[in-house]
Amino acid sequence: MKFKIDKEKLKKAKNEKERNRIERMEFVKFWANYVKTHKDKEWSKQQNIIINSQVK
Amino acid sequence: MKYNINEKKIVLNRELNNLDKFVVNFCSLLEEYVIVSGYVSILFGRSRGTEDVDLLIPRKEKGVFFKIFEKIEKEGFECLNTSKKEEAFEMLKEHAIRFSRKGKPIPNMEFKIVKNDIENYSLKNKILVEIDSKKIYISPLEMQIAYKLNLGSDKDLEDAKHIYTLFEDKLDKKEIDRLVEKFGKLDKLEEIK
Repeated sequence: MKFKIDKEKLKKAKNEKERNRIERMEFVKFWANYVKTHKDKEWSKQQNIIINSQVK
Repeated sequence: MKYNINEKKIVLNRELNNLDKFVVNFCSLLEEYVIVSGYVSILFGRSRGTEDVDLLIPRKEKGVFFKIFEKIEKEGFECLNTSKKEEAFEMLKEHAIRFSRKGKPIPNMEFKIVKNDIENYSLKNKILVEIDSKKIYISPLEMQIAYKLNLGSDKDLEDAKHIYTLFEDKLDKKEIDRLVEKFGKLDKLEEIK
């Protein structure tokens, strides 16, 4: 499973901010598909690192 | 993750993180409620944290609210707005009040009374989520998406896209269209597809 950005979408970006936004949205889609196709325990192990570092 | 649409139930087979534990502990003190907004996306894997969790409860009589307030305090939470239940009850008529673990303002539960049709829809159509055999109630995913599109910040659109992508084959698309149209945000819906 590789993270590939839709280059056509990027071409439409008017500036760097917009470009960054598109890249973020593409990653959200990639990660959601990762969650969809992997066991709960597998994706949550990674997510819990972020959450538990913020909430003690 | 298993979503049974007919039973309005999602089962997650994963370990609770510290935010989940906070939410599960708090919600176990309430009889009728629904969790809305950002935490719903996080519950299903969104890779971000949050400082607050939004929760709606139906309007309560003063005496009933006092009992809930006392129960929450007894279990080690405190209201960040006031320690007086009378004052908290009055505040709730105007705005949300927040509860956290004593001496730890983050994370906190943003506690609100249902005040409009949208919030009432979320409460009436709530979904049960079982996580590590603990139970919590969340807003329907279709409303979650529509509501996030209406809020409209980058973070909200990302939350909406996460839910949409994850549950794409299970969502009631007609209902999403109806709700999003109600908010007047059909253009935003195209952005997350």
